[in-house]
Amino acid sequence: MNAPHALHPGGLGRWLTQANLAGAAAALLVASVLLIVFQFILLRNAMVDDLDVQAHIVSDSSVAALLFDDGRAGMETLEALAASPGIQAAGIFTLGGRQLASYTRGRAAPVAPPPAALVEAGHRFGLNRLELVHPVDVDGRHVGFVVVRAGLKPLYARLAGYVGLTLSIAAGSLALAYLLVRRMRRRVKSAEAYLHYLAHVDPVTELPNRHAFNERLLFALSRVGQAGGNIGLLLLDLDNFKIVNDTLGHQCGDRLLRLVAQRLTASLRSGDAICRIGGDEFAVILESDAATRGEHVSAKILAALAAPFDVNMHEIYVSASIGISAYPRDAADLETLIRNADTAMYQAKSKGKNAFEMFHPELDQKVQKRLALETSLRRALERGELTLHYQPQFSLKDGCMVGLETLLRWNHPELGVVSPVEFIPIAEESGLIVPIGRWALREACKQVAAWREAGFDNIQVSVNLSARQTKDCQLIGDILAALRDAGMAPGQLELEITETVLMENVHANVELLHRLQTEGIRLSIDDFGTGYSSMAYLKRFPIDQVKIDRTFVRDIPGDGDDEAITTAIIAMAHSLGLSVVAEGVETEQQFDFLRNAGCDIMQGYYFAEPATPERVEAFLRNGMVRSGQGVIAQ
Amino acid sequence: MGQWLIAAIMLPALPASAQTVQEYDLKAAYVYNFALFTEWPTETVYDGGTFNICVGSASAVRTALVSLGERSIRGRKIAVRNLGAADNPQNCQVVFLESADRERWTHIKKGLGSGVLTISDDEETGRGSAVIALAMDGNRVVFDIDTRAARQAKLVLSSKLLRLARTVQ
Repeated sequence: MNAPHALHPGGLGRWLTQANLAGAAAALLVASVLLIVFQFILLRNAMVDDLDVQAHIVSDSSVAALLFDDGRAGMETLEALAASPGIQAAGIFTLGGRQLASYTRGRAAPVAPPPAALVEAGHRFGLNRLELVHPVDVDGRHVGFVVVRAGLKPLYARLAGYVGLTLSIAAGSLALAYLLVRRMRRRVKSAEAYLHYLAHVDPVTELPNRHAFNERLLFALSRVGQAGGNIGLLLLDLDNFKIVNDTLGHQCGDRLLRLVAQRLTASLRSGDAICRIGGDEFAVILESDAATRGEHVSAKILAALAAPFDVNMHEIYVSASIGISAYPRDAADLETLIRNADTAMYQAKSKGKNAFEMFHPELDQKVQKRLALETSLRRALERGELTLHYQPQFSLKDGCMVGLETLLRWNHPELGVVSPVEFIPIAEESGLIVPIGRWALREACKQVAAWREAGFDNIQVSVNLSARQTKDCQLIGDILAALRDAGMAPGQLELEITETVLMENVHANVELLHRLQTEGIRLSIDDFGTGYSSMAYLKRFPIDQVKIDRTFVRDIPGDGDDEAITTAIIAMAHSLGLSVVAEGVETEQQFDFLRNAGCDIMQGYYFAEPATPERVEAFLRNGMVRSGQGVIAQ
Repeated sequence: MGQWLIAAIMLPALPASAQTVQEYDLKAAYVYNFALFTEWPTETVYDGGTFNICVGSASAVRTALVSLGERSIRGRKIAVRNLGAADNPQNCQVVFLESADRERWTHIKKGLGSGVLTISDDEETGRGSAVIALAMDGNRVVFDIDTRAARQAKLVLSSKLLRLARTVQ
């Protein structure tokens, strides 16, 4: 995998450390030099003071010798200086510059009579010696001079010692500081690395996360912008992953995600980047031959996911929907590229999942249309654009109408009548189905009340419940309120739930159905035969009837399989004590087959099409029988 | 300030033939230097407010002493007085004795109280009576100090001076 980092986080830290150390070293050096200079001045001054004291003592003791011109006594006085090893030579001079006595240590040169400038200054430093003059006073008057000369070697030796000490302390401090800084830098670096890891890696799958995905994709796009080539983006969404999370728990869900991530990684080339960008969403960036490889890689991924996953002793089957979009072919920028891949992915999902879809411009138009529909659907309820139609259901035993199925109709002011096939999925996805479903329920109940007012008692209606509605915790309250407001018996209401919705969350739905049944509401399984019902579950659900899916009815008679399935469903339902409804009955042949198979109730254009409440009422007034439908009257 | 001092105090080495004017000058300078290293008791009365050096009127050193002139000791001007028999030597701070004063010495000695520095330039007189006795050692002027006489005279001689003395008793 490529690491698209223009910045090296460690580089700056290293540079800073070195700059810090160089700065510290420079500061220490300056401080050391200043200290040394200061110390040199101190040592020099101390030496002058020290020598001045000695010269003073000598001059005090040599007054008499000078006055009496006693060279011997002067010598004796000077010889006391032998105790001071720093003093090389000394002399006692008269005011006129005549030497009275002279002292030298070893073979050092004797001092010369002091020149006037030296007398004036008091002392004079040479390169390697210090000369000092002290006047000899008596009774407040000068009578001569004592001149002392000291070597500077001891001064230099002490200074050298001090320089060595200062510099070694400075070097030691610097070394200590370097060690501390290095240790701190190492900690900072590891903290930085950890933060970087946290910010860029998904903890569950250890794949790069959404943040890293955006960075990588941007980097890849800029590379293509500079060097040419193309990039493929695959957005992958696990189908029905939520069920695993809901039924087996989040730990199993996480484990499944990890296993999926491993398979995905194994099925990709090393140059391709795979990231987890959402709960059950993954993204793959294909960096070479992207345009041609997209479909190939997608097929490979679907194949890799086909085998079951073993999660905590559960065998889980996972499928995915993949959307493919290519840069620069399908999009000019990052946002469009992602959106197009997303569009393609939803297309793959709507095609029945476990599929991949290449983005093409028509998809985008479709999405745009869908968006527009969703926007207008939001206003449809308020504007009263939604209406209910009713389709009668007839009993095969006596030909009587036993109920009416309510069906939503949307009359769009510009688009005209919009098919439920088109807008129901949009309502379902956007969540608008909840208020719409609630409205439909109340509307149907009100209609039943209206018919009762018109003299038609005991009309039974069935209303469809969507997946979202079954998860709405206010559902039961809403239903009971609608029944109460309409003054309608619960037995007059039948709720239809599709098999797929029922099986999505079996546990919660069993509870819901039991509560509904307790209230006396009839329950029916819609689109039966299309889901994956287990017989055991069917037994557990407190249902009253099943409704054979219209796709089976469509191909009978003629299609052996569908005939067999239909017959089997009817037989099974009867053995469980359930009544069977067939919908979409359009021909006499279908009617005959179903009647022979023992179907209880039928619904379809063969008998009556869905109609407005007014037409239904007219139909009811015609004595429950429509002309031309002699079949029922027999 | 120092020019005259140099002339007076810096003692040139004596030439081989002694007893010259130079010798008297040298001895006068010695007298002055001795006074510098001597402390008089505080109760000393300075007659006439000057520092009085008494010497025989016929002394050869007298001229040299007088030529010390305007110099002062302890802030007092130097006055050279006659060491006459009638004079009270008690008014002298320094008494300079020579061989010519041998007869008078016994008499003078009696009149001496405290506070008089006696300097003898005569070995006969000097022994056992004067505080400082000058002598010639080859061609150098040397001196001996009698600390007992100094104590009797209540004079304190500087150790610096003692160190330069040929003998100290």
